[in-house]
Amino acid sequence: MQFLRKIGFYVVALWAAVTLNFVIPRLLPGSPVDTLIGKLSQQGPVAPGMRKALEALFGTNTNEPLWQQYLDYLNGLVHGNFGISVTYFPTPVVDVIGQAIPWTLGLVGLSTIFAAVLGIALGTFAGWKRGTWVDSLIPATTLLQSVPYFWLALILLYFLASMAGWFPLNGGYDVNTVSPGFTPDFIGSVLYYGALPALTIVISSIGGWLLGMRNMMVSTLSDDYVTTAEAKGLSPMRVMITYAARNAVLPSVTGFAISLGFVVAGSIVTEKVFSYPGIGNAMLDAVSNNDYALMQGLFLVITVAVLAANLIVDIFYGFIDPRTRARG
Amino acid sequence: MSELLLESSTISVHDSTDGPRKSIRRYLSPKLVVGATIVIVTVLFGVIVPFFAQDPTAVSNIGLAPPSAEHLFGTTQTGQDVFAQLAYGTRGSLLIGILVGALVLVLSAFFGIVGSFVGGFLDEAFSLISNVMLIIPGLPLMIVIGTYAPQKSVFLVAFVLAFTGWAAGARVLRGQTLSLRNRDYVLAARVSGEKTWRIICVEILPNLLPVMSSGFVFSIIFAILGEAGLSFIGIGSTGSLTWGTMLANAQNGQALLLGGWWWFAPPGLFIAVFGCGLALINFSIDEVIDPRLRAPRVKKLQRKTS
Amino acid sequence: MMIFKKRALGAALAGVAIAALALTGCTPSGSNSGSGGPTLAVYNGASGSFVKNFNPLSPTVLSEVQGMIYEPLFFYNNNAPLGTKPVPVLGSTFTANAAGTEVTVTTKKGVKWSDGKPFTANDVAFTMNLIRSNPALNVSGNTPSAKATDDTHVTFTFDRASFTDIPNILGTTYIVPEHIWKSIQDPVKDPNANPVGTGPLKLSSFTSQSYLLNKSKTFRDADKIEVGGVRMYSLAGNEAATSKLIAGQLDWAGIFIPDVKKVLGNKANLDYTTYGSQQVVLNTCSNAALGCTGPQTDPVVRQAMSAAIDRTQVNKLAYYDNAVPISATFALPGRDDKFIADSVKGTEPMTPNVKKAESLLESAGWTKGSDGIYAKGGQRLSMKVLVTSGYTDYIAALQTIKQQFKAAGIEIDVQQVANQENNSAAGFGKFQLQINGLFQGPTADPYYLYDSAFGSENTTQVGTSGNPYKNVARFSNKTVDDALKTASGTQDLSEKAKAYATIQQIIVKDLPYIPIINNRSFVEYSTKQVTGFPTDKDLYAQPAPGTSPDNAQVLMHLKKK
Repeated sequence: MQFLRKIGFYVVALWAAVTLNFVIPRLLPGSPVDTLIGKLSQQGPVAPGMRKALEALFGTNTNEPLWQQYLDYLNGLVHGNFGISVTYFPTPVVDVIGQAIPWTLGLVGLSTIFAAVLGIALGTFAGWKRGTWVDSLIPATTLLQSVPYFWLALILLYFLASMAGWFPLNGGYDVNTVSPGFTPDFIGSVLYYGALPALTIVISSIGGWLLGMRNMMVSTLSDDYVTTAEAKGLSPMRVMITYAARNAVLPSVTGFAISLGFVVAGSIVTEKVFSYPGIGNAMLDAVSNNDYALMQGLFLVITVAVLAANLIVDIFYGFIDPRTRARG
Repeated sequence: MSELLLESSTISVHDSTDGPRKSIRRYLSPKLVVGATIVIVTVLFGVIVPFFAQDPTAVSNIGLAPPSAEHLFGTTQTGQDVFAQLAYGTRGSLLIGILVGALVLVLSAFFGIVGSFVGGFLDEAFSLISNVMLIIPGLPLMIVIGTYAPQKSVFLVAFVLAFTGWAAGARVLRGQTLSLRNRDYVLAARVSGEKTWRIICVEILPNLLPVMSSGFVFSIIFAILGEAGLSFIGIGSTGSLTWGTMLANAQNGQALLLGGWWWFAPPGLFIAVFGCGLALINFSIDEVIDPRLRAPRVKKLQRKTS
Repeated sequence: MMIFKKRALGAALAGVAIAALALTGCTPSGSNSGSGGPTLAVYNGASGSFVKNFNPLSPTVLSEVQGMIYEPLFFYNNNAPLGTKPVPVLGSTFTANAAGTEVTVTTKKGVKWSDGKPFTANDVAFTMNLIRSNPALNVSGNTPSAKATDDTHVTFTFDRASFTDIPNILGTTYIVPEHIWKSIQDPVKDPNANPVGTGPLKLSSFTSQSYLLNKSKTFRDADKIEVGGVRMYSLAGNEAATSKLIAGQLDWAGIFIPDVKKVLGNKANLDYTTYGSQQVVLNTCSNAALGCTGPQTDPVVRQAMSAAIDRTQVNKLAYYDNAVPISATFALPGRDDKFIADSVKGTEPMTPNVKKAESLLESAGWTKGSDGIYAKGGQRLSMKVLVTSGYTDYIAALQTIKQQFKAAGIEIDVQQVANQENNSAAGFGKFQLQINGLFQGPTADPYYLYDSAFGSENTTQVGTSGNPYKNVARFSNKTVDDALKTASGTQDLSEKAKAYATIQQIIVKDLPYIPIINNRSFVEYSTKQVTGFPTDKDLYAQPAPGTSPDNAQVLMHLKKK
């Protein structure tokens, strides 16, 4: 029963988000036609009839009432049809997003997992060794966390890629020499091109995981059952891992699920700095081109990701913390 | 990435049943002293220096000049004084930080505490609103509101950042309140027939204060970093000076490429150092909330002997 | 060996354990010499991922498809004075009737599509009729009906006298093969995944991050093409592109680089060409009769503003001294010399004349207030200026001008707004001042600019939606309209010149667009592998890789080094 209620709740949340997805882009003034003409006029003179042609093309001068558009929109979503991208006309939005998703998930997702695992491991260690020299690491990671991400990334890009030439400047892989596919060449190229962006993400986000884990470790270590375990004479390693860390890590798991949704949004900045071909890049494109359909599709992807993550956490959390469960 | 900050800070917060009742002195850790010094110096810089600095928007013919006696931090591409811009930018960023901090505090407290304490439908509704707010990507929302306003002012950016940034805090407060409301003394107060608002104010809120102040401090960092990020992707506050718009201008002017490090480096460093100062203060607050975090050496010795 | 080391380090630093894989991905990067000639790495402002669209009739077609794969009938060089004969591409000659309603084109013989089928005049007629029958494709709004009389002759029939549209139709209609396109269901939306064209290049490979066009063996002059192909890149912006260019990873790019002299000046093998004209102006909502309000509706105020601008300083601070003086007639000095009336010859002074500005204002009844700003009848001489946020050169120019105006007792309040809002303000006339650029037309004829910026057909009452790229100043003058009509109805250059002189006399006095400076674009290129890009001295075509069909002309001029 509890479980069904939660599912129902998330269905409602999903509907609310989907509806907002519909409303928000439509509140934007300006039409995609104007934007596209502006873009074309930067390339060269725009022919006189261009505006009329584009209006006919995009159907922007339709007088369909809003509710009809809304029904069409919901119907489209149910059938997996997100409409046609204006920026990439006449390509369906699904294709554009589909092209971009693996890159974002790969780069930002993997480096977030990497940062989380590494941060939690270091945090466990720092919590165990609290009061020693290890504590002095914490202010250092805080500084890294307070640095504006793009600023750090640009500086690293400038010194490590532009000046030193250790890393490629931009892109997802070496388009000159390899082509996509499950070949060692391609995977190697992807890893090489992803190294610097990943490095910047890890550097700037590891501090949060480290600190959170360290603090939970410290709290847990003073709990009675840990003291009991120590008193029983269990090996320190065992106490640290199976008794303290196992419980201390739970809030970090919560944090991780929630942060997954932000991973996609946060990728906008990363992908802009490194010209990485993922969702963030597509999002910036959509926003600057008034590409309603593409924006909606991207919104939806992020929305579903966050909702799913939260649902899992919510169910999980109920099991973890009996106090949260025992109400009503 | 700034959201992560907020998240990770709040999960570290531990339940607190015995509020800060001991003397202030105990909490004057080196972390707090260093953090407070950084923050106070920065605030003073932003408040006082603009009165003496040059006009930050005045252009001159010496574009992209390196630091000199006349221009302590050099000039921008259009010959504007970077030092003066920093002073005004500090003011702008602080304004955003404090505004956002306050707004986030109010919103998250309202949606997080009230709903979860009352429970039932209200909790569901508030929780739903919080979840929806967590979901909406902040950047496009920023654009929507921004295009309605003739100018994206500092206030507007602050409003949007707060609007999109309170939900995570509300979740944490909700969790805390859910734990607290089943505590014995709260139950006792309920049984004895105290009014809901009174229980919230007298029994719950004081116990949440440390958590909330920690949230406030982190909202400031979140806001300043968030504003910088928005400016970088080109949808920050326009026509006003903040650290973020300075960075965005320097990036658009390709300052690094042209060797103008004095234009690109200072705003970023200011953000980093100020954020670090705030974080150090937050550590101290966390230690107040959960004294175990203070990690005394004595305990360590005990552990060895045990 | 160097590359090996770098890659291993990169992988190790990121904590990616599979360094071995990274190593195996190692092959010499940079230009791979394909079949006959180097492949050029090209950037043309593309951001995000590439999506297949090789439909040359679509406005969102991928860069280089027009020109390189599909060709027009003729090439009009925008930089050459009017009257210069167009370069034959698929057509060889054409004649127009005296009324300007009918054009007969003789097409080239022996041209082949890249699938080996012969190209004929029927393809031209098919393309023209296809566009005409699809409003969504009819970009010019005046596409003629067409009929092929034999394999090498086609006749176009326009609905009205169309001298000014002819260059457009002949120069930018990309001819598609009838034998393929007749079976395409929806020519508007079809992405044309396997493009078959007549041009010098053909599609070789495509991914969402890059695509490669290689030399087409069936091209009529294939043996004269010394470039193996072009590889197109998508990057996040100018900063990323500039780094890539400096690192030697781009051969041809149209990027705005601040202080391009300093950035590229000392780089071996890298050079740039300045070209084109974006005449930077302050749009004014000038016409009170159409509903404009504010001090700028007074021509004297507009004259005073123009006199107060220190164009040298604007050039230095906003354009790194790369811009050139501007003529208040908006005809281009040099190219359009024969179209600039003697009485208005010369360009706007590069130095400010505050005295002149002040005496102009005072003669119109303005008096300086205690705050140093002029006022008249309680109204301060203060105006709002709109600028699109992120347009850094405009913003820098306005910051500079604001200070200069202040010295002359004029106040402007600069407001940065989103691009859509700026456009909407322009379209509806809901602005006082706006910084913007006036662009040239398809050929070297001032007519296009005069018609779109000054023709009263192209403006609307304030509050009614108008085209934000046309007559946003709400300028309306019967004499100018008549002169425009005369100019459009003739091919006689001296008659045109006379009409333009009439227009110039009026607009120079009225000044609905306050001339600031003539900004130029840059194209950057590497001379490591090829030479022959257009230079400032020899602009045989627009040098930007994204301008078609000029791109194909450049390609054919490139010589292997």
